[in-house]
Amino acid sequence: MNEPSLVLLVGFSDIKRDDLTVIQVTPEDLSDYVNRPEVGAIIFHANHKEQVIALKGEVGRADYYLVDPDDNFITLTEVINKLKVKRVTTELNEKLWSHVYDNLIILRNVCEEEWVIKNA
Amino acid sequence: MHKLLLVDDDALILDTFSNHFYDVYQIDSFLKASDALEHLKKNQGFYDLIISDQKMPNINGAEFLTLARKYEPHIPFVAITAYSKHELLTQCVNNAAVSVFISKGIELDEIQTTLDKAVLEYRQTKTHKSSLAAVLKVKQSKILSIRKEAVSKLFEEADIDLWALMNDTCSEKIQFESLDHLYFYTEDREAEFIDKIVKSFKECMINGLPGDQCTSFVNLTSPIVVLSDENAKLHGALFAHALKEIGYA
Repeated sequence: MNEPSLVLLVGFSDIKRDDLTVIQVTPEDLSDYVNRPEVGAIIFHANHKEQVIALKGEVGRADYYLVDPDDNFITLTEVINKLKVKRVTTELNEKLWSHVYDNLIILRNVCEEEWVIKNA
Repeated sequence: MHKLLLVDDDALILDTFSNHFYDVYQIDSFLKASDALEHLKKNQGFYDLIISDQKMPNINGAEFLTLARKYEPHIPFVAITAYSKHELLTQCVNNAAVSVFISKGIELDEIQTTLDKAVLEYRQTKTHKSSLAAVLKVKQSKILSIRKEAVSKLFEEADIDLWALMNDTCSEKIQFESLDHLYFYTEDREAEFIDKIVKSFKECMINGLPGDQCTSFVNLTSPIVVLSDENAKLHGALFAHALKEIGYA
């Protein structure tokens, strides 16, 4: 079972975490990762919203998080209507990481339960 | 027909929705968010979707939808936006899990497409969960049946008539549903008796707990059988063996 444990970061650099496995990808490389079942969260910068929306996962179960430093009304409404975003913030802060961490655990538990049911 | 709850302090918007969608949606409209909340509280699980305007007196849309989430944790929430503050929309997403924003200027047919899509996606998720629950039920039932069979087989091999044994040893206070939930109580000396059983299980592991920690078997959903006190030690050991054989110990 490939349980969701990875966090994809789109449009950020030099981010490291001790508590989570984080992979920084460029919008161009996103298609190689987005549908992998082990991806549990995708945090993307508003500048790359089009690429993320265009490649939104169909196989994976990742939660999406939008970081929009400009607090842009249009960006928010446009993204929400095309992609189920779990949370939107103006910066990649500890509060957001805390949500990502908690939701990743929830998602992992759901996937494990489903796996157990299917394979019982 | 989808059931919608709509809140807007503009009566014209409520009328427009009701008149245009009368044959496709069942819409309950409210001018005041507080009235809608009161109604929602009494009708939990009834609606397929909730729509709210943002700019309203007393309780704004973000606050209303956040409060409404307590009563409807899963259905799609839709926020109507016009000149809403960005901060309110962020609250809609972060606190009320709003999944759709619709603009006040948008065409009604386009609104219908958006609402239908939101309800459809929600129902697909719900169906997926229901089918998993159904699979789980079937598999649990199968596991129960295998356990029953395994226990019966053990008794057969031990040359013991399980049902006769139960009849001989159980008291009037028996609570008997199935082998997965089977509790025998003795009328008297219950504490002393349970203590004996605990001792007889001491060498075992039950549901991951060492036997000496199992002081209240009745809370466990294992095939726990408590026999009359005179043979407790002997039968306790037998049941310990049975539990071990069927994977509980």
